[in-house]
Amino acid sequence: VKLQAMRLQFSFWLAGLLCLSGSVRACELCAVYNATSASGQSASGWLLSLSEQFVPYRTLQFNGDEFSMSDPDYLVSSITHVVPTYNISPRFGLSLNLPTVYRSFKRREVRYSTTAPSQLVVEEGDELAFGDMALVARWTAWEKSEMEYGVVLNLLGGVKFPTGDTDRVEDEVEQARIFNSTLPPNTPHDPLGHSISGVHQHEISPGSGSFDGIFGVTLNTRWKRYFFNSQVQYYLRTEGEDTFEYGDELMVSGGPGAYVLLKDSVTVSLQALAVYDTLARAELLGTKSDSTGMTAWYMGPLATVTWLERFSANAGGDIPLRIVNNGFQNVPNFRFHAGFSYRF
Amino acid sequence: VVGSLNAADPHIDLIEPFVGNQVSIHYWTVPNRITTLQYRDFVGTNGVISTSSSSGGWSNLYTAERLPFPEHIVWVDARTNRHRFYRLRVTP
Repeated sequence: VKLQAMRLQFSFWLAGLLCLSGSVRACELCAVYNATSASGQSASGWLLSLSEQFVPYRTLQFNGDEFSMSDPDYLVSSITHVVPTYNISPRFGLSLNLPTVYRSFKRREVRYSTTAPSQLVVEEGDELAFGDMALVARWTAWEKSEMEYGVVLNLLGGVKFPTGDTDRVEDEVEQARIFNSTLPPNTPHDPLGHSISGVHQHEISPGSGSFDGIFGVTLNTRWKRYFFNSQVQYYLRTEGEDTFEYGDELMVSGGPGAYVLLKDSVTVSLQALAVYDTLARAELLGTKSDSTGMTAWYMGPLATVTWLERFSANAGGDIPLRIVNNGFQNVPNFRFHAGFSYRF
Repeated sequence: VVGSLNAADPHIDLIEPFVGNQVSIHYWTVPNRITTLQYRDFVGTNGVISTSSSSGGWSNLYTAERLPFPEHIVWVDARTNRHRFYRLRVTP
């Protein structure tokens, strides 16, 4: 029974590991794997999972250096994923990720028009909308589980669909287009050069308008009560709304952990995680923007609880050690992620 | 980026007609200072501002936040008079 409980919890850690998206886009694999792990990887059938990513972007940085200003702009992002999963077999499962995106923000903007003078607009408020849904497949490529040790290798792949609203991306590109028309011909410039804020419209937008590729690999090793889990995620972004293309994102994370409680019905584990997250520059109107993209290193704890082999929950946080960003951007103060799963 | 910045000598880089009855003004803000774009419709022929002018003193068009780096600003203004004068005001 203990072996079964350990295997179950062993998989739950992956849920937390994958809930680590650094950008303001939804982390499809995070949510999907939260659902996948609820079954303990060895169970076929239906699962339902809820997961949450909460990230306040209140730190101002220019080219990697932090600074302060009076009454600064901010963005607080909360993405809640609802993920139904069907495991066709112990080794293969399909998950549908349905994100709901909430943003609270304040941002300044010089608005441009071809028929009226420029206008300084300070926009403050919050928005709630459905984001881009995704379909992700899981394949357990290799698994070896014994009482003393265990190794599991998972491959994940999927597609994100352009189902979320993209009005803000469209407006941002249109503003860039008008700004460009004010410049002398052939003048080199940043396509987001019109922006005077560290919070851009594409970061608030619930949808990207693009079909994106989702790829992931997880490797999990356990010896007695101790384990080391690691994972790699890659998001291949394609052109979406009105020439806008979000930057590709690569995340690598992992770290050691241990079971602190191992009962027949309940398991509890704690893990220390290190995260490397790099987001490429976005492109619009055929040019990459030097006001987008960043590379960050985080560390933080992850706690996972399982109960009666049907429920699992995890929660963790990431503290930034270093964030190197391009241009003027609001960057994360910290990241909180949590999930809950139920196996039917 | 567009143009270059001499922080010790803030200046307007370019003023040119824009779409319709508008004009675009291009300049850089000064790092760690508040840079304000101002306008005035009347200036004396000798360049001296007449305090008796019906338009009063300089009026603010746009005040940029104090930031540790320069920002390139393009401000589009309406051409409501035969002439209009612009300047940058830089304060700590």
